[in-house]
Amino acid sequence: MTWNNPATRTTGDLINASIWNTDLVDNLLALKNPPSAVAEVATNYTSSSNIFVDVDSTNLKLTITTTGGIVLAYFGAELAVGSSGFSQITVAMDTVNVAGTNGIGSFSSSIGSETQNFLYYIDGVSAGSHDFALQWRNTDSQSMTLRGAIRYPIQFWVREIS
Amino acid sequence: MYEIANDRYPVVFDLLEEAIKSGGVPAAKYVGMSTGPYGVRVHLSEAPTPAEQTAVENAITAHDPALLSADKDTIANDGADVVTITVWCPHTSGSSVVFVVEGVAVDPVDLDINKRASIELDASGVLDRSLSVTVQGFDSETLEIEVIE
Repeated sequence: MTWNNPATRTTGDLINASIWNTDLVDNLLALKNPPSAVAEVATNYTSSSNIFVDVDSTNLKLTITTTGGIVLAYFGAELAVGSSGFSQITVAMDTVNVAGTNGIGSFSSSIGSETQNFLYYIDGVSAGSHDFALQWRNTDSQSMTLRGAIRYPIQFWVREIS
Repeated sequence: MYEIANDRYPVVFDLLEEAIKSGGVPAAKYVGMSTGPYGVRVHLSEAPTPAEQTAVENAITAHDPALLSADKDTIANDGADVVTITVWCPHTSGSSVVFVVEGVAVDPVDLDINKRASIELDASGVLDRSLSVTVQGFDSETLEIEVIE
């Protein structure tokens, strides 16, 4: 069920079943089940790429059909950072990085292996189908690992909120 | 951005990357490597020449990993405590492996149907604070078990 902007009614308007179902029932169902997609992947990934690349273009790329507005993206996983430089994680919407040059999360080599997560607000998303891919890189080309198979799975989700 | 993809998985990341780097891909063109259940992806800034493509594919195909794991991180130096070392050789066509313990090859151990083999070791004969194990003839990193009093 998708959102339909309800019309403004005035005194004396007849609210028939069609209007009720469109303005109230369908919209309440749309609010209860907004466009969203979730990936939970119990697998380890390793990369040394110094340019942002997909972590897994099959299992960690999500597609939702939005009504247009704001999308929240969440990432959480244990990340073993590279031995130098910064291990950076971002989200690409339709192949375009939604954040700046350094991505959404930039993690120093001094932190070792820790749980990392972020929630990111993506505004101005047009209505229609969009791909959201989790991407990463290490600025010094050092190998980094997302450890989804050790303690808990990698979680990545997107959800339209407005 | 170009990628050379291969479905080989799992791999010993650092050893495979070193083989690819030394196998004929110019450093200026090499961006990095990624591995996951999809296999291996070699990221390049420019399209590879046919010779570079072949060199990368050969390096990946030749990669024969032996993945080592242990059931504990430390072992007591009392001659009684034991650690179980397991190796997984996912791509081998061989039927046995030779563990190398503290630099000394031990008798071959048969691989099971899942291409895994295990040995139990104690810390007797270890001269330093670490029991080192690797596998002969494979792409294998050295596993170090800390020896404690």
